[in-house]
Amino acid sequence: MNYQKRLIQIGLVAFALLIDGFPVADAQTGNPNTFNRLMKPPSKRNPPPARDGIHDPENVATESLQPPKEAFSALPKGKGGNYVDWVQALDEKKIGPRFDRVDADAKPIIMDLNIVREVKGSMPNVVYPHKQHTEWLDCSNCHPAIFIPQKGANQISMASILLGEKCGVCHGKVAFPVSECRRCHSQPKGQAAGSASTKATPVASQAETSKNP
Amino acid sequence: MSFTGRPRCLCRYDVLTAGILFVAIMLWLDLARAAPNAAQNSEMRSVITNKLELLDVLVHRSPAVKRIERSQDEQAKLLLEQARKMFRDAQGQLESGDSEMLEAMLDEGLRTAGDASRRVVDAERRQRLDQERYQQLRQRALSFREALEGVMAEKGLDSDETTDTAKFDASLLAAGRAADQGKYAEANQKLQELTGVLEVALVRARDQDTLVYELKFDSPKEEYAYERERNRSHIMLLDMLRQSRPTSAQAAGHFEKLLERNEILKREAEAQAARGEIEEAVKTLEQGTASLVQALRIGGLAF
Repeated sequence: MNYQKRLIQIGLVAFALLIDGFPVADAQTGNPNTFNRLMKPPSKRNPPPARDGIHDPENVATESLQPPKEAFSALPKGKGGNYVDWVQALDEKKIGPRFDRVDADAKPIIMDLNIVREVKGSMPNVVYPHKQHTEWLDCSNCHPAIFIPQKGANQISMASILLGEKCGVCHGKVAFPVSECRRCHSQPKGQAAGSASTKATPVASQAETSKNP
Repeated sequence: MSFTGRPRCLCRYDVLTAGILFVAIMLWLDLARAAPNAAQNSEMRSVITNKLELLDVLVHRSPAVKRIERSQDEQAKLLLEQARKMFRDAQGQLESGDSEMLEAMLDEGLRTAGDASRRVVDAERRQRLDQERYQQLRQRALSFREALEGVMAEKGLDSDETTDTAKFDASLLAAGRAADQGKYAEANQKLQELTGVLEVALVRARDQDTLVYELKFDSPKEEYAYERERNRSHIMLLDMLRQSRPTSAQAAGHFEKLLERNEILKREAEAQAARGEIEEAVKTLEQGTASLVQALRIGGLAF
């Protein structure tokens, strides 16, 4: 009897081991918002192009694209989003934006301007540092199509960001997602504008009125 | 020491058990080793099949093929022929099993097909793209010019060589004239230079500044609209959070209670607003949003 029990146990163990050895198909979870794909569970982030819901899996060229995980493997690790610390990657020259793509002598235009947006409630104010963005983006990537470069001309809300507008054009798609609140809501209430928690050292402050949730 | 049949029997069973376990483990190890290799091979096969199909399209059926065949560009025709030969060679080598060689051959074919296509541009499409680009660049130049004027007025800066608005307007006019004649490439070149100058001027004018966008409302109605949007944002965030992060049954219970509380307060605020009690409505809705913030914290969002 003991012998039979042991055989059954061995059989079960062997079966479990065998099952574990096979890849199990990913169960597709409902996606609340395709724009914010970096808010998916970690295991579902950075899928290969044919399975990322963006590229056409039927297109013959899709398979030729480099999978993000392979491309990101040499870059400094981040704690969320697509798990790449892009600012560090830039600082360490692991990535090199092609400012010289059209003109070999072109130099990057880096703007050192912080924009602080006061918000309601217990959340700290939002600090937007132009410097970290313009170190690898061109002014024209955001202006004027996404943000109009005028006082009070941009109505930004968390809802719009979650819907893939304004900051959400990048954040949640390729840059860290909105679930990392403190990376933007970084200036405690009542703190002087000049001591915003970014690297920039502002010398002037311009009070403006904004009604952005 | 005395021996009975029972321990001897158990010992034999143990050997048998160990044997079966050993075979099972070896089998599993073999499968586990073979699985990634098989997956890698199948992935490679899929890449090659896709590239072959892509090259087939590019050298036989794409619009560029018709363009090249109709053109007088002998070099483009030669490149297309070379790409077609690479396609045929790759097709012939499919069964060789040398995936790396095949992929390199296909990559070269794709590059050659691209070179051929680039030599014979689609003039109509080029013109359309240049026209679209002109509109974008013009809009950009105008908005940067306006922004620069705003900064200069705000800071009381005097106009100099780099911020001469008359010069900017002259460039805009020149670009417009070129565009009117259909010379969009020339117009775009002028606008590109102008936006570059404007960007540099703006960066200098705003260097190390901090702009503070204060939260001020012109009326309680405006604040109520803001609060409604804030409440909506939090609900959206909660929906996403609930679907992306697993929560315990206990946390889910708290979640539901807090959401319910928000719904009650939201309805109350709406009723207050309908009665014209806007300031009270704002306060009520703020309480609702606060309960959503609490739910987000329970859901694991670090505030």
